[in-house]
Amino acid sequence: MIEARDVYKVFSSSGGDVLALKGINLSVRPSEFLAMIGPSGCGKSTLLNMIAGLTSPSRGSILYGGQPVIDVNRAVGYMTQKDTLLPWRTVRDNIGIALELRGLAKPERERLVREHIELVGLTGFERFFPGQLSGGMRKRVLVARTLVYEPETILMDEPFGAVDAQLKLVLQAELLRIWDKTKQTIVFVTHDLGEAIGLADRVVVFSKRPGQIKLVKTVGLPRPRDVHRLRLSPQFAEIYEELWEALKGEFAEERQ
Amino acid sequence: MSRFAQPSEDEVLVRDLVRASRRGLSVLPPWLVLAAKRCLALVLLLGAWELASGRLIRPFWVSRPSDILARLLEWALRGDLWIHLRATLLEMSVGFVLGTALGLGLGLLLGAWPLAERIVNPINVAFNALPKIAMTPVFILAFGIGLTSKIVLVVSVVVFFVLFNSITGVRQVDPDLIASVRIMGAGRLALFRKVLAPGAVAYVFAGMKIALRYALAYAVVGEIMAGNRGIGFLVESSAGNLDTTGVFAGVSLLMVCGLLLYEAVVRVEAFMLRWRV
Repeated sequence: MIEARDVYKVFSSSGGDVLALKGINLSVRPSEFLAMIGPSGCGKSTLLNMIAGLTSPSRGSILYGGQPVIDVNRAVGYMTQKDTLLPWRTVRDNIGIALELRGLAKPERERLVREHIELVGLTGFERFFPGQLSGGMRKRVLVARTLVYEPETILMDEPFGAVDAQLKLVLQAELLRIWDKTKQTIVFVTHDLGEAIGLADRVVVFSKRPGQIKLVKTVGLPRPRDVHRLRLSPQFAEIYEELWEALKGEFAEERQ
Repeated sequence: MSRFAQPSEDEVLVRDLVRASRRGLSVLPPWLVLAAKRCLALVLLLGAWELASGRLIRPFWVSRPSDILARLLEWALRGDLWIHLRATLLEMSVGFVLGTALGLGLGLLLGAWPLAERIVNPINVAFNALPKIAMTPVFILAFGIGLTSKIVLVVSVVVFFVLFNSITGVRQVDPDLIASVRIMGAGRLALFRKVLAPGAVAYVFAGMKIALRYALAYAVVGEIMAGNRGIGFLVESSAGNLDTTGVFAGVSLLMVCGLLLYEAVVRVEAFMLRWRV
């Protein structure tokens, strides 16, 4: 489905050259929920950008559905870390934009938009502009905007980073519920180990810069999952322990 | 929010809170109070002028508000006022609209097409640097002493303000916004219509507001240099007769026109940019 073959990435700027990714080999299976975790600046977001076709590898290649990604990849829905809502569009019109671009008839569009506004709990805010919403609310609009047009693959870069802990659990549960139905491929970048384990089929642990894959762990927890209860189970603790052991080292070295 | 059911406790509460915060101390609406205060300031200013004229300064230099008002009334009754006002407003508004349309169309296009912009940039900059006032005689020779030459002059000034601001407006649109909409399936045209053009609006209006002042100024400049119509002509011919009152009457008309038009553009801008909070 998605394949990274021996991917390297160097960023050059006036400040100097930085090696962001070093020899990444990874393949994502269709309908898989894959989480990537690692310290800041380890190149996780860069890898997502490459899958989306926004930047290209310095060496190696990214394949999507067997084809190399050379231009913007329209098969993916990308929820970036940064807020990319169009400030001049209301919540409703922001969520509907992808459907609009696909030429969906208005009644159908409005129905889907209404459904997704409800899904992320923003009923009553349809006519608000992004500037009138809180940061957490804007994140939810972004989630709805990405889900509404059901792209084949969804790339999410810390989608629930700015959301409070309780709402985060609600949104995670919602994401899993939708994914159970749609079975899209999801590549999910997070800083939250618990989130990664709770959601994903496999968790990829990155080393600190230059980013390399340190460990790929298959999370064998049964589905459907209850993101809240799951955390109390012994298997969860076991996997958490193992991944934390791998991850911890990356942070410890950074501090020195 | 429901329209049919009884308002809930919270809805009643919200309504009361909104009302209470709007009420403030005065029974009058706030905009009326502000308008009254502004009128008072204006009356004081004109009063001071009226009193100073003839006592502190000779009326020959500064005329006086009552004389100016009388002169405006005289022009209005004689019918000249409308002819001249109409000519000036026509020149500036047609020039402004054409110049804006041209600058906007070209600017958005060049903003979205960086290669073309890089090629023609020196030409744009050179023509912008050219003082349009020096071109006035050419325009008059080419287009006559009527309205057309002034319209061309106004267009030549307005177009650059809007052009450069439109280019910048498109350029400063956040690349991440562009990328996100492209991924969602936007082609070139959709990207332009849904992201680049709306993203440039704030810059376009900034350019238009400056251009508006210049549109009025250059319409008048054109009239002063040649022609037999327009407020500029009125001012010029009054000055020729050493008639300060006539000059001030004309100038005050220009001031009021400029103010009203600016206000109109600001209103349109506020509506277009209502998403900015």
